[in-house]
Amino acid sequence: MLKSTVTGNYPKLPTQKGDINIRRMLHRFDKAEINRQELEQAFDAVTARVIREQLESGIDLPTDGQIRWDDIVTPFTSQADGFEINGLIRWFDNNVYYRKPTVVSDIKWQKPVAANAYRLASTQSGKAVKAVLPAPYSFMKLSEDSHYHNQGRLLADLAALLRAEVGALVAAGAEHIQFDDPCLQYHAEDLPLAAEAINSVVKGFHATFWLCFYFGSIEKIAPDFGMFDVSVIAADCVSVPTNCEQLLRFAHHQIPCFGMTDARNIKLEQDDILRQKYERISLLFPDAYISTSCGLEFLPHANALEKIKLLGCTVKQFRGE
Amino acid sequence: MLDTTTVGSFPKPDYLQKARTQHSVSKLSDAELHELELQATREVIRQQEEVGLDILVHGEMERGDMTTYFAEKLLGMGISDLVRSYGNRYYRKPIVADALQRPAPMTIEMFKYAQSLTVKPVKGMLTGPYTMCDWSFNTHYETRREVVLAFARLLHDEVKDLQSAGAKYIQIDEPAISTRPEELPLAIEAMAIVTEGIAAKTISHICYGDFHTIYPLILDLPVDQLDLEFANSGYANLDIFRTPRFTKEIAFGVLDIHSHRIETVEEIVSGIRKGIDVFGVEKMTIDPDCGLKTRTTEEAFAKLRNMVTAVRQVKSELGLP
Ligand SMILES: [Zn+2]
Repeated sequence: MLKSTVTGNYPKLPTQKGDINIRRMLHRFDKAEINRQELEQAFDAVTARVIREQLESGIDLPTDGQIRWDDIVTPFTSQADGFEINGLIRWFDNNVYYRKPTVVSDIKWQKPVAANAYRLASTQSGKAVKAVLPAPYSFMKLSEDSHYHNQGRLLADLAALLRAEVGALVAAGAEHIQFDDPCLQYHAEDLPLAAEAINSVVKGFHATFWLCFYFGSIEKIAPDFGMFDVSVIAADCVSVPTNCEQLLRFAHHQIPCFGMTDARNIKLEQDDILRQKYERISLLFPDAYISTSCGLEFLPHANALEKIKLLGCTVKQFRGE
Repeated sequence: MLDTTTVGSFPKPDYLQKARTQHSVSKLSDAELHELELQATREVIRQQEEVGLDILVHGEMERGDMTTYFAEKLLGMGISDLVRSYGNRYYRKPIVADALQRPAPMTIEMFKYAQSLTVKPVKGMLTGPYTMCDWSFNTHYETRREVVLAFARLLHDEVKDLQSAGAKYIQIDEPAISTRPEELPLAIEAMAIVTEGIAAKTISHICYGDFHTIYPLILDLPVDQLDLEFANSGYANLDIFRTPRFTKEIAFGVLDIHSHRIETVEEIVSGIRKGIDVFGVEKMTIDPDCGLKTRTTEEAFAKLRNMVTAVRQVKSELGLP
């Protein structure tokens, strides 16, 4: 049976007037009009709304929407030892930016980041929620190293930090944990390094681990998917449509997850075309996941909601529900 | 030879920022806002003359985002709800929702006004067809190629109008061009449409890029001058342009616009010398890495003052007028 999921982030601002507006709350917090506790409550309330919207849209495996996160690395670099957070860098081929961390001393994990959001999300959801972390390799590539000058040691310490996060997530009950590795597609020669790092993060933990690729072509890495000790491989099949073929061809060792709804354009996919694609996928992989092509935060909220409704609805229809 | 200029945008003065906010909630009329935009333009033209720049810009006081401004003037385009660009910053993304048309010139009035204020040349400033496509949603055209070429045709009309209005320099910015090297041929094809038959000097600014991936193919972009960033990498990216030989004019970025720090005259001089070594003095114009709108007015002009001093020093060393 095909199942639906999303990639990770979700628009923070609501369409509906009267719903909590995090942008305004952050401004008010900056002006000391609300305190930290009130801000945290606002984040919690938005997270709850975001989970509810996904479930109501029929998404089988939602995420917490990363409502507290500015990007995929800053939540971790700001809570650990070893990083300075620097200027804005373009986030791949998007008109969106992230803060590039610089590694300035030994990296040491201090406290769980993802587990708190997970706990809240899973309470809200009442069913499984997928937690998302950066993969160690992409974490390294998205950072500037001015301390280690040794890729192996840097990667090992980033892996240790993420292993601590995974430990906290598993202890909090997380069953699905996804690693985003968007940089690896552009450096296929580093795949053995990246695989070794992820494998060291997940070793001995009992959870369903995901590895997720978006924006680029997986052509050069797909033949080696078997090297990753993860259960699900997800890829963006919109930005690079041939990624769909690559998954169909090479995901023998894992369950594939096909990113089919374009999370970077507001145009809605046609039901019948999605259905044809689901049919092809389910012939080879009856238990595959269908997902958005990448995080939904590239879209305004109303458009993101339309996209997940389409995704949830078409997958349910396909299952005959 | 070693003319000084800037990339395009200047910081908006406080009164204009406030006026834009008021205008957005209908507390200020179009005419009142326009009057303040003209005032800010007068000020920025005078400031550029005072600091001694050779080729001026109008400062983009009437523009918010470099794509949204054009989206609001074209038929067939809409504006989306808010999308986050980084941190707590959001913007409204343009939407190509119908066949694109230019009902009237978009930049001529402001160009003419700015040029009327000075005897120095003022550059005409446009956003290129590839970037307009890449930074917009598209719900109308079947392919990205159709969108890019539709923008190219109407931007060609705008370039002709700028030339007729007396523009000696016309800059068509393509900051998105370096993000997808595989689409560079499309960007080149589109620029050929934009600049066809134009006698004015054409310039294209490209930034935030990994120039490795687009050089030397970028030399085929049909403009006279490429405007590139160098300071923010500490001139480390200069080596890329040694072989094959750079065949265009270069506007050479010597000020890191993301940094509050004011570059010293000595370091700018040293940067220019490095540039001369690669590009040759006769092909060089000197400018900041990118638009200055993210700096304060004081920072922007302190940086430019040192840049102009540095250029004068290099010129006198070389015995240039
Ligand atoms: Zn730029």
